[in-house]
Amino acid sequence: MLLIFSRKILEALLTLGLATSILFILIRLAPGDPVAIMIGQSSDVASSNTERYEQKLLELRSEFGLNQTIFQQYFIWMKQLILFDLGDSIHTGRSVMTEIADRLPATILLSVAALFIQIVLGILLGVLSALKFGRFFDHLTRFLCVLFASTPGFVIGLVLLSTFAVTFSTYEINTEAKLSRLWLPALTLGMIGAPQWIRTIRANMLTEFGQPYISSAVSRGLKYRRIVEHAFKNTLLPIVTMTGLSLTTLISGAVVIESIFSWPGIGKYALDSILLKDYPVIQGYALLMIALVIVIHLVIEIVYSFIDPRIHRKGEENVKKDY
Amino acid sequence: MHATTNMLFEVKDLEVTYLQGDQREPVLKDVSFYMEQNETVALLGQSGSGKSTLAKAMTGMLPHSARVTSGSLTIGTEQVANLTDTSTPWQRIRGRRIAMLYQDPRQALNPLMKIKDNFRELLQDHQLASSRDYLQISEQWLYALNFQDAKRVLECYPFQLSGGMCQRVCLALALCLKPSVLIADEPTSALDIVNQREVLDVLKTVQKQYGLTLLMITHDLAVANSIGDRVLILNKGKIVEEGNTKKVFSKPQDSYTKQLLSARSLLSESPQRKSVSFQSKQKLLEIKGLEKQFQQKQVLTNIDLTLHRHEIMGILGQSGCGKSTLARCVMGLETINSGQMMYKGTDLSKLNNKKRRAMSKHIQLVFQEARGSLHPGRTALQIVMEPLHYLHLGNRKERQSLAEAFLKEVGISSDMHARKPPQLSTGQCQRIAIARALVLRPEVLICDEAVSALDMHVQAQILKLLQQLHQKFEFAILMISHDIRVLRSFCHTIAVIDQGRFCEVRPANALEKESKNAYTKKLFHSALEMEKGLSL
Repeated sequence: MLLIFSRKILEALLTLGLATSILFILIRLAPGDPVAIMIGQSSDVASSNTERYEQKLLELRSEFGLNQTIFQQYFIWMKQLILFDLGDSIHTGRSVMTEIADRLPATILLSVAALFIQIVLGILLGVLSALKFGRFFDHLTRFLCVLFASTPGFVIGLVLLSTFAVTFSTYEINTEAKLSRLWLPALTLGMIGAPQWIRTIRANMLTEFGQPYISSAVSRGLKYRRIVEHAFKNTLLPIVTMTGLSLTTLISGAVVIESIFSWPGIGKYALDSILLKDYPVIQGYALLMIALVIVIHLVIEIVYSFIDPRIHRKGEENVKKDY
Repeated sequence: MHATTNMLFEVKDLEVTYLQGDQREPVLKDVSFYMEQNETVALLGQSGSGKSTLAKAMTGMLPHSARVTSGSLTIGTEQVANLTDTSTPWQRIRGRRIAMLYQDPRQALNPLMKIKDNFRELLQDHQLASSRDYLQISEQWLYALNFQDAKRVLECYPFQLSGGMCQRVCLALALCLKPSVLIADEPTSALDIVNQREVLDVLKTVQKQYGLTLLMITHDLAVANSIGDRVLILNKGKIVEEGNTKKVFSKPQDSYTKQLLSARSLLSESPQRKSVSFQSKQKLLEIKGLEKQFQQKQVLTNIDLTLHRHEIMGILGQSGCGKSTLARCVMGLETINSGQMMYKGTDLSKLNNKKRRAMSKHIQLVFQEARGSLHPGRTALQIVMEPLHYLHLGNRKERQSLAEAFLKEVGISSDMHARKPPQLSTGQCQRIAIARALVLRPEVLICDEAVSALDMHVQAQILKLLQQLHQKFEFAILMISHDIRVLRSFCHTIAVIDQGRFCEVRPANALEKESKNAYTKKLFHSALEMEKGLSL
């Protein structure tokens, strides 16, 4: 068990190293120069003569270490990483670590809340519409799923915002990340993601209902509730996988909804940094997201083995001996 | 029907239709039968005859597309259900009065539940035990069903038990509600001969012990013969013959029954019986000291095997003994850990992918799951043309004409060339799979349980076809099966494999008499016990 675990950790570190390295190179290969963008924004240098402009460009490049080769830069970045330092933002000069630490909790809070709403809606409506297969409720749920899945997220967000903030004035508009402001963006993200959950759970429940162990349970005269439980327990496996995938998508992809609701999360910060080509921030953000995805997948695997005994008992000795 | 004093269970005038397209197709027509107390009745029919529909109708478990147009069910003196009535309180009948056993015991248990939890919810739902004493009751039932280690079994998940053990667990679950009728729907067809024997023995014992009335649904004459007091023959939704098992099997009246029996005797004919020496013929496949492990588990140990030109060799063993792994190793679908696999002097295990692929022209495999081994979206003709296409043999026209010729060879008429696997019967699918294997004119054909999933008469047809093709094209066959009957009638040589080792290799006609191996004897004993009384 320990061997498997340490192998997994090693694999995770390798993936992290490889993925960040590729990203590091790709970011630098992309057209655009962070220093040029920065100077372009400050009018005093941009408006003066080109000689001064070129000089300033060189000065700033060497200040941020951008005049070195890619490998030198990579080496420096790695050295910083070992000391848990993500460097400073080219744009603001503030430590990337502090900037991310300021914003990440808000995003995680929003994502977890949205995920919770997605799971609750998914399980509730998915199981119910499987139980009511072919009836009005099932058709209605399917219609709503198509409707919400095909409407762009920002439309749902804007409609909800204008309804609750403007029409009913129940939602305060500011840039604070507090619990009283969490519910609306969480609900929006929840509604955008729920159709996928509902459809998957419904389909899985229907597949499980067709399995022989269900017929067998029915023929033993078990209560209806029990039979539903049997089927539901077996649909849990894909639910665990989906939880992990949804969480990563939410954390890394909530930027639009964060902007609409002025939620001070990491999404908007990352997007701005990408537009400004703020290398240290993009690198730090990417590293964080990759690490997050790896950790979530690791957790999924562990949870999986607890739900499905077939996985963690694989290595056990053969117990099929009775005579 | 013949109402007798002991009559316990009666189905009257049962008619069931299925919705197919816009029309309602009758599946069961005017089915009436009775069972006496303590009696075992075998319901015999081929796939598609309506056996399982009958079982489902008797427990109110028909799918939505089915409709019962008439029929009633009586247990004892009480008519428990008017089968056309959808408001029948089945929950009180299922389990309590009529219990069911299913075909694949491993799939009949929730894979994520321990055995003890199955007992707990069952006993609690039927208010037969509390959460405190259910363990004790479950243990007693497991002991009653020959489990020696009931405590450990209760803590197991289904995947940790063998098929036979799972079926006994299912039986214990069925019996602990003390039903008066037990319907067993092909309870042994997913098991190999030794497990089959084990389950049938247990069924017989508990039937006597608990005074059960047992309806044994099966497609296997041997099973019906070994267990049934009476037999009902079901053909196309109608009971065509019924009566004492021995009488029906020795003097069949109906033409369909006769057909079933003749299909079986065809299997037991022994055209290969005469001893043929292959020593002088060319060695096609020569395996020496083959070893295969999965993770730490040894699956195949020191396998030595020589297959000569035109020889038919059988590999006999229980499920899980490594038969299929051997086939997969030869085909290059698994890599071997050590040993040699020579095909005409070339070591198969040392070939690179490209050469390996070219080798598939010489060695071909036919799988057990005929339908599953064919692409569901391709037509019969496309399927047979595919291997020619992959190996770049001939142009399109030549491929097509060759494929057509081979489809004709396996008895698939030209009007079926455009059909896809879902539109074909299992037997037809297996014929196409054979055509696909033979179209490359291989010198070795490996059949991995190629007839095990088929009905008896289709089995006989396919074996006959293989024999004809073997005569005509002179390839060698490696026939993997758990069915002694099939191998005995079909092969020249039989190799018996137990837990990944060859116990013995002998000519097919001498195996039964000359074998001194305990395992071989056990296999023969299990098989022959069931055939006793079948006039073959």
